[in-house]
Amino acid sequence: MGEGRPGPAVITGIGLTSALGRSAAETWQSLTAGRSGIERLPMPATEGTSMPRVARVPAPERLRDPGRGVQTRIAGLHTWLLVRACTEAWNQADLPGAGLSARRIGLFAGLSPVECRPEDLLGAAKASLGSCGQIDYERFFREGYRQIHPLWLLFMLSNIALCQAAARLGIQGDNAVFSPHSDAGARALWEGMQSVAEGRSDAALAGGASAELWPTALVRARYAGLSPRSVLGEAGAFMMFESGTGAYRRGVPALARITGFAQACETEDGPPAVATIQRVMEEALERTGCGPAEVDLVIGHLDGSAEEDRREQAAVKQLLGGAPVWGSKTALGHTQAASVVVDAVLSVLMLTGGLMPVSEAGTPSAVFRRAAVRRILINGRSPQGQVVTLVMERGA
Amino acid sequence: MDRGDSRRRVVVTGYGVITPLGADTETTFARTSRGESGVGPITAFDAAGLPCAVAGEVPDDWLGTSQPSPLRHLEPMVSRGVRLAWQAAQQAARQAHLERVSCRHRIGFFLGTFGENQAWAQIQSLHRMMRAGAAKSLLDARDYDCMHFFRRKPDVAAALMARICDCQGPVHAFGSACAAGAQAVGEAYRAIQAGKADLMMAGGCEAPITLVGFLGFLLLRALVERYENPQRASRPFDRKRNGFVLSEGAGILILEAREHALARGARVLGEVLGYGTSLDAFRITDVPAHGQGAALAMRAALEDAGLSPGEVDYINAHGTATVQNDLAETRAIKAVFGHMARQIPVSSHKSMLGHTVAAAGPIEMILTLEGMRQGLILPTINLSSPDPACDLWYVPNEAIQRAHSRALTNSFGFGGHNACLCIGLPREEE
Repeated sequence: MGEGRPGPAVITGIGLTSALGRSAAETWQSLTAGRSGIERLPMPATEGTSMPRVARVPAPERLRDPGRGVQTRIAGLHTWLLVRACTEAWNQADLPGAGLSARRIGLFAGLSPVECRPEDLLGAAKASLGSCGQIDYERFFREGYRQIHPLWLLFMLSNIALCQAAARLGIQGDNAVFSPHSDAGARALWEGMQSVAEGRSDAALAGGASAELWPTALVRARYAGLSPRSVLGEAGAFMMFESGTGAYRRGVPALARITGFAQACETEDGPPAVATIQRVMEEALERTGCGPAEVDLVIGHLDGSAEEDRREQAAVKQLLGGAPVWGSKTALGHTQAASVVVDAVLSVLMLTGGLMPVSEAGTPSAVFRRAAVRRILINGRSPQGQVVTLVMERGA
Repeated sequence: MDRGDSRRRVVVTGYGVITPLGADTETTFARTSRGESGVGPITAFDAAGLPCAVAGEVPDDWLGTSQPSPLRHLEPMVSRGVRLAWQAAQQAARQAHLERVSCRHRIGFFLGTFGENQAWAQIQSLHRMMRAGAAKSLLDARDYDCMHFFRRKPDVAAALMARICDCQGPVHAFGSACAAGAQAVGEAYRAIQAGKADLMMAGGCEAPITLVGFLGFLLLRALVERYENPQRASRPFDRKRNGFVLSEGAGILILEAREHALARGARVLGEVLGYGTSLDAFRITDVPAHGQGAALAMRAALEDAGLSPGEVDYINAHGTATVQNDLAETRAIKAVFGHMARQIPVSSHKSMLGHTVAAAGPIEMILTLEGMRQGLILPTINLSSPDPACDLWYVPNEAIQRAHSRALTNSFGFGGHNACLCIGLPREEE
């Protein structure tokens, strides 16, 4: 454990793989050029899902890097999204050259649940079919189940992706896995930052990754409380936190800071109430010591759900008056556990690049203008009632 | 033990369990203190022909017949795991008089769970859909239970529990496999320390005894395959150990800021003194032979508690009964405790309860706390053929009367997640 408390943590690296690019810079370039990563899937694969549009990462096979430390048989797309984003943030922060002890580096992630892939069980099913085409359990127990890959279970444990990144980068410190929605990624960011601020880690990677969008995921999304107007997306987004003094000593620029965080859970039926969303934003702002007038931009959750989005906008208006509201999901989709982290990475790019979106919330193509952005408030929520707010500011 | 910092102290004011040995803490503790086993032949599905046909099951009639009222209209979303957690949470809430706490947005719920596995029939439906190549065919399939989606998602379980218990503060699900429940408790402790909540319900629940869930563990070769009878199947630290017994259950604790508990006159049952986590950063399917990751987690918990190894009176081992885990954990304990390692009682509750996966950490923490309160250390049963490489004091076969006030409880997850909680009895002033 380090000596005493090192003080506030700063962000020294970011990583993002999304439908708009295989790095944070590529995504940012595409986004500011007004491009959208959303595509319409061909019929009939999505017929009847109400979700014919998705924001998938381009050429996912190119993300699969057979490098050191990752066991590829149990690495789904979610693993590669996580590993890539972690590695990008790690490299930007120049951690390889920092000489930190592996046990003093933390890793926190919000991860979407990984679904069972029917094709993993197909061999077992075929080997166990009886004469009438149904599973013959005697056959199944005798030989069928042995057709399933021994590591099949591990593929579905979302924490394994985090362990793969730990093995790749040699991280042995403080950690947690939160699951599975926007609030999970937000919590991971907060915990990563706290781990550094409280001296449990000298540096910590924190972020989130979504699961691969299979047709079954789209079918299931219809039942998951997501609106038919929502567009699901794939992404991995991570940030490196370290103490401000540590970053200064190493000569690594402090890109931004998280200065406020709050969350709540709505226990009544229906979407979170305006009052709940407002209370959470208020609490997060209180922690920053700033007033509502000092917020330059709100990145709303804005996932296309009519009533939920209306309530969020009402809460923003009541608390923050005329602060501009923008949403990234119109270009990048709803990346579930990664979504707040995606917005946090974009915030870092806005804060450091002096660019701010000026398009209306819900507009497919983003338009940006030069602006001195000081403070961005990010909202997230889950279909199960969790509400979360992060406040991001420029690095000290 | 004064940490010399400004963090709030976190005490335990309620807990509850449901396990294969009992529908409540009192029964489970009484039966484990007699060294009974909760393992039996599998009844949930026909396991004849599988290399392992034993598990620790909770009888259905212990789960109660009615749903908690906030869930009645959500019945299809309620998994067996949530029903187990509800039984444990009710005990904890009663013990802590939770109904008397009015500021509900300062109460959170952290839950470790994997969620319900798919039924085989569901997988068959998915096959048909894949063959047809269209999502519509799945939607049209009348035998596909789309509500399973909710029973599968861990956050639904956490949110449902928060709704039942009216917890309006931070609510999260944890997904770090067998360490998830311990991480949920550890993170709840940190949330209170940091002032994010005044009171947290935290724990884990798991109901993995289904054909598909069971197969996953079986294929990993993690389950016991050679045993004389079900009760003798779970043999942590024994030379004949050859895998763990999969079980179901739940454990929920109520953690509270000490000043909050004292101000409302709540009875303090124990204190969370420290929490540590680590990652093995090793091959995903192996445990580092010397348990370096486990040792890191134990050291971190001790450091967080401000304790030296010599101040620990008891270690509740993860002790799964796999060949690798028990040896690595033994070596890790030796690395942390040095020459004192053989003098500290170490025992595995899994010898009696089997491995309840994400629920194991909270259940074992509760039994450890109950043991401290009663001055009784629970045994490691089925330890009849000592393994020369596992040479600590494992409290073989019979519980021992012994006053003890500080303990570590270990939880290690697949992939290399390690969590360790340091707990203690209330100090005299309470």
